[in-house]
Amino acid sequence: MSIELKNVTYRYNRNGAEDTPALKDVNLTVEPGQICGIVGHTGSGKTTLVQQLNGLLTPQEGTVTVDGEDFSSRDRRAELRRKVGLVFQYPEYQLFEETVAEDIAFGPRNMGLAEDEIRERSAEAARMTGLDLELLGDRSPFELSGGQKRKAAIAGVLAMRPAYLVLDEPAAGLDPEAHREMLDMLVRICSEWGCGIVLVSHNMDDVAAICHRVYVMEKGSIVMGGTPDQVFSRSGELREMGLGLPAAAELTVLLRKEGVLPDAPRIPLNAEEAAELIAARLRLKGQGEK
Amino acid sequence: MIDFNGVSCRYKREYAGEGALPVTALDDVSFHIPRGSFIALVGRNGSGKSTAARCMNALQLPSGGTVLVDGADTSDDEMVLTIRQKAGMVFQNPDNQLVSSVVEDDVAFGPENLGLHPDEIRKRVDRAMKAAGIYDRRLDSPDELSGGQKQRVAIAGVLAMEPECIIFDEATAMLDPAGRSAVMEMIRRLRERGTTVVLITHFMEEAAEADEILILKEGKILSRGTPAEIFAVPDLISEAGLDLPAAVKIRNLLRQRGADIPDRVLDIKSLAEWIAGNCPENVPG
Repeated sequence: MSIELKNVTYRYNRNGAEDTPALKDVNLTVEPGQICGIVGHTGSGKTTLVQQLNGLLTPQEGTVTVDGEDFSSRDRRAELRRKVGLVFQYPEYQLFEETVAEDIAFGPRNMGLAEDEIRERSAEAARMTGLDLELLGDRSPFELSGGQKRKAAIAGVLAMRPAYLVLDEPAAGLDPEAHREMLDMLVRICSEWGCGIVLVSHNMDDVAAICHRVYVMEKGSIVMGGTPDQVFSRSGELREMGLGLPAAAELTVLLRKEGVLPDAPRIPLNAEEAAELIAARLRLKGQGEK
Repeated sequence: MIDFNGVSCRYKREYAGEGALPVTALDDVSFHIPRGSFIALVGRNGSGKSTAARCMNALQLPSGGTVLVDGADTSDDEMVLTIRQKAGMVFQNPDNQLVSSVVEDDVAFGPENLGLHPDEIRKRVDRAMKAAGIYDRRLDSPDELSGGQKQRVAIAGVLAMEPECIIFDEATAMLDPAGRSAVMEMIRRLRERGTTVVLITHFMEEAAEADEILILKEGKILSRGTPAEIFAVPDLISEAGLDLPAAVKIRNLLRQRGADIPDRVLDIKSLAEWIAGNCPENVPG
């Protein structure tokens, strides 16, 4: 069980002047119960990659399979697409039903489910996003706050109970509190539902905090892949690509440059780890105590 | 430069099945923004930040109190054009702000509407495009540009009006890290030139660069102070639904372990400097 991309190459303009592939020989595995981060510059191919994951685009070379099946069969395509929920950037712009409840129920209703089942799935999806359906269900989506709209849009995707969930910058534009709630929600969806999650993000602190695996894209290729530990330890290469680091790693790199901290294979990825390391270096009495 | 005197923005909003409910976006808010200062306006979504921004250039009029821009009342119809010229605004979505199919035409749109002489327009447009770092793309279509570049075009359009104050309403929210740092770099330069800057942002690292931070909560001012003062009070930050800058989180953990790091250390670079200067081997003598 997984989404598998094998040697995927994709060109937008096959015979035109710009024949540079948007994706070049990409290999990627998304497993259930794991959060997989995809980072890279604007224009590095992240969005093109995401569209391969649920068959919106099909590769000219290589294969994309979801739990062993590809998107070539027309009969199975709709079913497979439901397995992979896709949440675009600013998904709240795609709300369109008259009420929030109807918007969330749109997907399950399209699947031809019974009313009871639709209601149950909607309630479950709303609960997962933290949206109060009792209070807001009868309102128009346009009456919700920005954060609530985003939750409603994501609940609409969750109500189809996808096995995989792909999100493009889900926290963009949210206030810090709503941002934290979004990350917590992704972790919950992953652990409680065993969903395989793909998170496309520019925020390295978010990626380091919640992802099990990280893939770095550049010019249509995956140039690095591994655990956050492995990827962010290659700070020099990331810097050369113009990509940032989690704040704790950034601080460590500066201190290594100053000769304050020694080079080490591991780099701290969160505030606690960095503080521990620096406290030891400063020979603070309180070190080790919490 | 900008004065809010007891400003309230109240209106009724229709809710299906519940009738019209009163909404208070701003509730008796008073503050003064000195000329040449850089103020960050922060708070939850829905705390009144954008309403306040829209009041600053007469896009919205308060239902109570007055807003003065360089002494001119925004409710005075005859002053609206002067006010919009003095206080320019850059919005979140660059795609919604560009109107022309060529970059330099877009930048010229504002000054043309001011009825300036064509020579003067040319001069201003060139100067603005250079200042915004978009001059070499002046003949391109905005469609060919990245989000960060489009936002530069939007900023150049505002600069060409030669405003005394620029309000950035979450202007970095849709940009990637490179685009964001380009906008912040421009803000630093504007500040050197003495332009008043109001920055509405959810990024605490950006707010930490301001002279002062103004926190809004439910339409009221919760607190106002320098970044060093504001980020020294974690309870205030969580009450307003905000976050501490990453460097401050690490700083506070080091303080808990006994490091005597001052409040003014707010960013990764100055934290690294403090640590380097306070390492046992690096202490002079």
